[in-house]
Amino acid sequence: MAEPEKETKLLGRNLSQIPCFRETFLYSISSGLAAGLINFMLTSRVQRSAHLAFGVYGCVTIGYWSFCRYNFAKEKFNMGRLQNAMQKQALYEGTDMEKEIKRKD
Amino acid sequence: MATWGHLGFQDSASPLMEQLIFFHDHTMVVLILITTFVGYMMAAMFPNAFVNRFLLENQTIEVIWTILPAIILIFIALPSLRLLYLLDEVNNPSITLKTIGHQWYWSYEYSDFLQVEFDSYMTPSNELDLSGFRLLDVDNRTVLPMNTQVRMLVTAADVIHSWTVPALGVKADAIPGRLNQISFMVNRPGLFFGQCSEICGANHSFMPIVVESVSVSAFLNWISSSSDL
Repeated sequence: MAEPEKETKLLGRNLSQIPCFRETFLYSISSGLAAGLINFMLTSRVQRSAHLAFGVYGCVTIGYWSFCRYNFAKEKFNMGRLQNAMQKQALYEGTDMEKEIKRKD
Repeated sequence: MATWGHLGFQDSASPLMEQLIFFHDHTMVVLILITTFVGYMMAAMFPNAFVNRFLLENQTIEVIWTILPAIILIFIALPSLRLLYLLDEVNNPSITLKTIGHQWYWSYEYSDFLQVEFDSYMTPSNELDLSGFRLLDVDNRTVLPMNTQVRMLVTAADVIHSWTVPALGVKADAIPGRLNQISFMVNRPGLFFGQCSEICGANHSFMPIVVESVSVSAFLNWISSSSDL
């Protein structure tokens, strides 16, 4: 079966499979470009606009990456707990343990 | 498993390896940032024809380029330390597997319930199936149950070897007269390959490791059929 989407590979890693990677660089590159362009339109200073564009790119990259990965880790942890609870529920269904858990809840 | 031109990590088969890959990705983003920043600074300075005749002891910039790298290193250090302690966490293994390195094969012992022991030799290339993996396939694979915490005790009978499976993120030296303990859990079924990682003589490259991860019921079937032999 052929892959429907084209994979973006860098050094053997499929970049689209790295959580938060695509969104981080999408937002950071576009916000950097936007900030640089707006600054250039307002000030007509090429070098300063370029520095600003790069600075915004760096800040948004590290900021959004940290924020996104933190949320990903929290969600992953909660999904793991939910999965664990669902597995245990299937195991305990109809037994005395289930009655005890329901009584405690 | 590793294929031709494989530069990065193999897909993880263990929660710890998954965390290692996440940490690698995080550090790689930080490194990309630093590299692009330095590259941009260099590119910005190339067309600059000005020369500062009084460039001496600028305290402000010295403070900035000391504090900023320290902050960036904190961004790397905190996940690193979290992972370091996570790798050493105590867990309750359900099964213990002993492996002994020999020149030049691995032997495995499952002594929890039924005494199951076997040797695992590399399949020679001239005896390999058309679908076999050259220098990686073995005659007897190490079968382990899925989603079960496994304790591995690694030692050697003659010289130092090293037992490793990259997809599981485990590696332990097999040293004669010493027992090294590692703990892992395989969270998906499949075949996971590794190779001896400590020079041990002429056939050091020809003593691979194959872990076959199966469901618990399939593992119990295999163990009971192996003990009958």
